[in-house]
Amino acid sequence: MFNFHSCNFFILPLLVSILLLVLGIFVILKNPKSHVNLSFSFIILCAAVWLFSYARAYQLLDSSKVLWWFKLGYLGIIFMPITYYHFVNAMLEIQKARWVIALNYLGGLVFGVLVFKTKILINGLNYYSWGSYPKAGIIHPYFLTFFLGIANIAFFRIFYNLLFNKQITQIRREQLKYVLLAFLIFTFACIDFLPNYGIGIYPLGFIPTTLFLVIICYSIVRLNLLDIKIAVTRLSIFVTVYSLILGIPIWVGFRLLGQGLWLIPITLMCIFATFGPFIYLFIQKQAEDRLLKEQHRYQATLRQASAGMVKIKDLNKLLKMIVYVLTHAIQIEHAMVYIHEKAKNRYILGSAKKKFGQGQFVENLSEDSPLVRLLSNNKNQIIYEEIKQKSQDYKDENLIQIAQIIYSMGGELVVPVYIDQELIAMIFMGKKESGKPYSEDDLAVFGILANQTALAIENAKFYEDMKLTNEQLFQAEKMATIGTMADGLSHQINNRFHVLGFIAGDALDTIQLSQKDPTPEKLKEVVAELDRAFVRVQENVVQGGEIVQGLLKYTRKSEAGFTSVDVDAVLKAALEMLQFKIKIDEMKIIRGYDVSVIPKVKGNFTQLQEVFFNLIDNGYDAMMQRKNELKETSYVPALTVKVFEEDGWVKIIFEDNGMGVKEEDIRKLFTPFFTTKLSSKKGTGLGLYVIKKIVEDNHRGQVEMVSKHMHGTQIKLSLPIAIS
Amino acid sequence: MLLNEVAESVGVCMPKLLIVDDESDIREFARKFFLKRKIDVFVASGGRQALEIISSEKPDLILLDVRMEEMNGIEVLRELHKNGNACAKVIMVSGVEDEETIKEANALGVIGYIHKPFILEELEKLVFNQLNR
Repeated sequence: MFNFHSCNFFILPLLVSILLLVLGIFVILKNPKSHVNLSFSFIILCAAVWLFSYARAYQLLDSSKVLWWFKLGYLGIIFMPITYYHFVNAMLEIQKARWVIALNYLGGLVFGVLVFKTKILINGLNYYSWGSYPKAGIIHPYFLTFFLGIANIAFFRIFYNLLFNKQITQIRREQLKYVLLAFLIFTFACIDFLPNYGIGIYPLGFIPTTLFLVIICYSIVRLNLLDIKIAVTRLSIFVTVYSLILGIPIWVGFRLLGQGLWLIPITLMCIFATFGPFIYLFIQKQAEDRLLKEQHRYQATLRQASAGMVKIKDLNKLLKMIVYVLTHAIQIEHAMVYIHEKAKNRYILGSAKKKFGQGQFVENLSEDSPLVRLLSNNKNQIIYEEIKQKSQDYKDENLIQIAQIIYSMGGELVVPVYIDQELIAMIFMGKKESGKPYSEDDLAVFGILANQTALAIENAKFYEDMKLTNEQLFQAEKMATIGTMADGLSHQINNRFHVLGFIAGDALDTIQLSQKDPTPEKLKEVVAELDRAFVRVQENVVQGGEIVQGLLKYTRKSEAGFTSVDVDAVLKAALEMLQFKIKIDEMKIIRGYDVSVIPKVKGNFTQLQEVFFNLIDNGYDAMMQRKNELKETSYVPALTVKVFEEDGWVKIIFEDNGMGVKEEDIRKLFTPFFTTKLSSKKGTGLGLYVIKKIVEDNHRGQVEMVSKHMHGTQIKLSLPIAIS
Repeated sequence: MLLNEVAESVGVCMPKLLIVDDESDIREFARKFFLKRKIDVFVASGGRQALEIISSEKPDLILLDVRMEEMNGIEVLRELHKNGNACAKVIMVSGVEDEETIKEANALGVIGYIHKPFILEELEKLVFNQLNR
């Protein structure tokens, strides 16, 4: 079928030999220290020598030189299985076979000498229509046994170790599977031995040999290999589809060759070639979908979880959710999240979960840890197996340490989380329950997870910061309010001292007078008076103490956190503080509710006290304003407080019949530092702003205001109900 | 004891003192104190009551507390001023009052001030001074 002239045929093997040499150099440069890479490059060297020599032999027409080149090429052939065996041992990391390898090389050397110095291995040339080829000598069959024997022993070693050696890493396993696949392809190369025995088959064996070498090269150069099932599937589909695409037109072409209708096959070829990729992709997708069904399922789960994450505002809840999704939806044995704690220069365990049983998790990791430094410099996910392999291959101290750290933390995969180049968190994942390694697809999805986590964490942190700022604001507002109560408070306390002075003064006076008339009856009277005096002293001391206590309680920073709050108690507390600021008696306070049946609020007592304080204060001012400006004769200032449950919320309404607020001012009232009150004694300007923040931000409730100028104002609070 | 002499010098008629303060203890103990000095003491707990007593009893000296619940001392002064009761001798008893209040009190004719807290001895001296004029 094919017509080749020896002088033209040599081109292909020559090109391939050069290609192989380049490949060999590339492999060595990739990792000079690795035994695996080194021994593989030996194989390549042998193959290159073989092909180059044979190419020369095909090219030359002078008989004596031709034989010499074939013999040189045979050196390459002899040492190929030997170096292959060496390579397999390096991959399996078996130490004790060293002497066997040495023996092999010795054997190879012997055969080499035999090739050049004697005729028993190669005995001249065979001549075929397509060219010449070395002729097998007497002991050639024994050599063949040696050749095939070593190759097969290597094959079985791999097989055996894959099945029974548990110490081999996952990555190595995948690589060895590829080596096996490559070896199977290599067996086709053995057809090259047939022309040695007079069978005139064309020696195309260099093609499977090249494939064999390329596959092995791929497997050792790329640590993260495509799942071999996928690789084989893709390859098979590709070959099938394209042999159809190209095969059918060519076959048609040959059938119609006689009629000279080349147009038809060429058109067919073009059509098929156009549709080829689409058909290929379609079939590939179908096949992979089936193969990867499981994987796609959990990747979808993970994407959904990522999207929902951003809505969680509580940092702890967020971290718990992440580890839960990882262990339950993705079926990972355990998962941990570490969060950056800038103040202490370390990463602290935020949340961890073990799918089965309890786990001991490492509490924190210092910023100086080599793992952290690696992640900060190199923004990629870290697969434990890879790092371990690399550390062994490269013998890198730093990598060895890092592998140790990850191992001690029980991680298989470390996914870093970045915001603005800064490493804010690390997600550690243990092995998958299925035992399978993490694939490229997995890593891609985890990458998305990491991005979403970054956003979600930033969000949660921001929310916490905002709460803190709010706390400071509330405290500041309270302090400002105290300023408005200063007059009332100091008057009250001053009065206590004043009274105590009077009581003491009068008592002293009584004692002095008694000295003039020291009769027993008089003394009895004196004692009685003194008794009365001290009783009053105590009363006033207690009263003063209560005022001070009340003030201190008010100024104390409110405890965070919610409890079940009694609305009536809050109202009382608010009025108690208000008495120092305003004359509560000037207005009627109407409780429009039954204390025993009103629902309780899930909230913070101190904050709600502040809210009530401000609302009643505002109502009072509005009513006093109406009283002073409108001067209605029958005006009775009244503030009504209503409490009831509605739609699962506690509604509290403060309604006054004061001056009211103009429509355009209502919104302004809620902005900070806006006040219609005249002096700083009366208003801080923060009241309604703080009320809004306390009710809406902290309690997730609502504030509504309705007002009619010159008639009154109604403020409605919606607060969460306490579920007992 | 000085006041006793004063009382005697005036004769049978005892000086009338009105103490206006919303604190009951103040009223009670001040009253006790001054009664021992043979002074007729009247007490009022608020502005309105004070005005009633002023018009009915016509006290010689009034100790008027500024800060009181329903009608404060300044308001009482204004009422007195309106009714032309300039004869009433009023001493303001104040806590920490602002300038405005003091100015207005002056304008309304108070004859003196005393700032809380003070002891009865001081008050005695002040009352004595005023009643002897």
